[in-house]
Amino acid sequence: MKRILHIAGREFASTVLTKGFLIGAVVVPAILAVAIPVIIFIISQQKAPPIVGTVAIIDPTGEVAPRLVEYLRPEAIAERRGELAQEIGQVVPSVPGGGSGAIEQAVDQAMGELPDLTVDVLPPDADFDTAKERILQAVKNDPDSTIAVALVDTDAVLKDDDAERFGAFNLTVLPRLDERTIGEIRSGLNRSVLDARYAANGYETELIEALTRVGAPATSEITEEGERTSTSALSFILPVVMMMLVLGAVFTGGQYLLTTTIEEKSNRVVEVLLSAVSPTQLMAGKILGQMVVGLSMLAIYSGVGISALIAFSLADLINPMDIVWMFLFFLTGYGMIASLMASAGAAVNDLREAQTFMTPIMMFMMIPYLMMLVIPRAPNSTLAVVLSFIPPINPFIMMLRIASNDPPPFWQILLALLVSIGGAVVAIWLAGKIFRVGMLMFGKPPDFKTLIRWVRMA
Amino acid sequence: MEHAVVIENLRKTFGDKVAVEGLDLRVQSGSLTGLIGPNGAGKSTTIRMLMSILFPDSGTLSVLGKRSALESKDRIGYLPEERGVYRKMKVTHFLKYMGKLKGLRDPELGQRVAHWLDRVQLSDAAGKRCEELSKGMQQKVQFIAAVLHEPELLILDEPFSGLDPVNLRLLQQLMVEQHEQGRTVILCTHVMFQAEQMCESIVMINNGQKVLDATIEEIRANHEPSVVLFDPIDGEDPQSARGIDGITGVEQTREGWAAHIDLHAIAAPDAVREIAQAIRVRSVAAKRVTLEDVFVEQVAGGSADREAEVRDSLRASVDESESMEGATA
Repeated sequence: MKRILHIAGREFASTVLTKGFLIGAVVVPAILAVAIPVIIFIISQQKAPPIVGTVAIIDPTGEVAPRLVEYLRPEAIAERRGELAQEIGQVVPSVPGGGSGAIEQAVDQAMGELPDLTVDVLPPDADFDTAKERILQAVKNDPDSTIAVALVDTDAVLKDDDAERFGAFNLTVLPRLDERTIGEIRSGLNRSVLDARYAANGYETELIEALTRVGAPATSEITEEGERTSTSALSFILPVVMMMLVLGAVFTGGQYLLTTTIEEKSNRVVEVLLSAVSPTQLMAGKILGQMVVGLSMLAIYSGVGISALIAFSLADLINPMDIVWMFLFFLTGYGMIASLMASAGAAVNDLREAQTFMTPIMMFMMIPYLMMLVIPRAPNSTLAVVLSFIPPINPFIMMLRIASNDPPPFWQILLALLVSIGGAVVAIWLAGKIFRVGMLMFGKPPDFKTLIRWVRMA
Repeated sequence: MEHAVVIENLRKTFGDKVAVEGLDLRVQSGSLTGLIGPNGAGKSTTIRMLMSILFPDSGTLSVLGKRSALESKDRIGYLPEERGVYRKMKVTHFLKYMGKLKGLRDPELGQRVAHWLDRVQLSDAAGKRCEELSKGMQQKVQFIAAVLHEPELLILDEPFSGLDPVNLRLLQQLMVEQHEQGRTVILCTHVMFQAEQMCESIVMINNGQKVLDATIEEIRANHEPSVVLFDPIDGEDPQSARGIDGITGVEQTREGWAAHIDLHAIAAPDAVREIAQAIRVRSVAAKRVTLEDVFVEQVAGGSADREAEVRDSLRASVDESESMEGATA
């Protein structure tokens, strides 16, 4: 056992002291921890560029143009934004990092400063084509330049009795005009046409608006700690994040195991080692050492993640038991994948040859990635339950289900864990045989038949 | 314990190829035994089975009184033929790691590592990474790894390959020293004169089978020289030695003129005397039998054609491994 620990110790030290690992496990999380607040701060200081220019309108109905003038007044725009922020505040619960003020700020950020748009009402009989030519002379960010010309149809407000539909308007704009500017002008025109129609038909705009709006508050969840607003978006992300953590940690350890095994084989140090330890001890030590590497990765990244959740007071999203399951499923998942990697590493002479073996392993491991989008939506579907019992992917599938908002029954978690433990035991047993024979075989890499012969041989 | 290693009826196959067949072997405790044979004879396979790195198809073996080397790895030092070091590891760290795997502990381990690095003149390299060392230096480091834990049995597989003459002599000296301290040493090599220089007893293997197992003295006693080397003075006709009864042929070799004798017709000392009487010579002496001669004789079984064939393949085996070393160095 002492020898296994010595081997594990060397394996761990030689891996974590490499630049690659230090960058992946320490520098990246550190950069993330520093960079994210900085980026958020920078973004909060940045606002979209203001919208400036003149909108020319030819309005034969005489009803739309004055309404557009009113709609595009800066004060009116400011008022509408305030209402929008209030609405969002009702639908979206607590946005991480702030109260309703934060929403207003976010709305401002998204929409930029208040637009400075002047409406130039042209005579009702003005020529649309001539008016459009004014756009060609436009200069960006000049309030007097015409950036858009609108022509309202004559039947936009009052339709002919035999016509099926109302008329609308034509809008021509400067090329490459900001999407938000066009949106602002279009919605101004839409709104003005609608208002004009309501008035022409004797309705009050406020009444129509009140009739067509349902102002339900945000959905809330009831938990043992009390009631809270629903966080369905985050609870959809959580299973994916937890699965990715386990998958990432398993493959970090597994990948290092593959590389160090190939290295020991190709630089011929293996037989020197085998003079001191048995192949089984060597493999056990290596698997153990890289397991600690994977565990460190998992601990570091999940630690950063949990601290972030605590910082945003969302820690109650995670059940502490989920973390326990996460580590248990890491161990069994790692046991299976590491055995495959150790076998692949022992069977080949260099990393290039290893690709042949890695491809089928990777293809199989794509399944959890694909399921990442499916299972959190239906964590207890037949597909999810079946995949939960198929090694070596079941630890990852199980993570998706456990962290979802409808976790599987306890017996399923336990059974999946037992199945994956069984899978790991079988995988380690097989790998031990392939490792024993493969480590001393140089030359042509084996095919599948040869591998089976090795298993029988050892 | 009379025998450090006992092998009985050992057999190992790789697919269709029989690597070792019906091998019996006993290595006396405290002896320096040479396991020799051309490349591919089955030496390394035998050693690997001895070390429990490979397992035999049939037959039994015992190492230091145990059924498997796994139970006595701490008492065995092994320098494999396929050997390497962790390239990025520092020399001291590598040796300490190997020492720990063999059950040694600090501070004794550190002292031994320093002592041995000094012995092989590598003290300066202690802090270097293994990849910075030359191949010969790496080989000395690997030798240290094999002897660091003071094993009772030392198995060295082709320990001299790729060494320059100075380091070759150093390693030979260290090996003999290990033997003199009472350890059993098994030297495995395809370069037969190296074994001849050092070993007390010899086991020859060819095609996975033992062809000879005897002490050097026994071999010399049983294999009378069949060649007399002589150096005629100018004007003498060396071919006139053909007239002597029992001399079957005379030819010029790299070592001088050689007269081949039929040992059934004449004894070597008599042939020497007869040649000295028949021709005026500067020197004349029976040529000492080499292990290579004995090997060729054993394998060829008296057929002259077969003898030439075996000698050629033996030379090719040595040349081939030397050129391979040249290519990898």
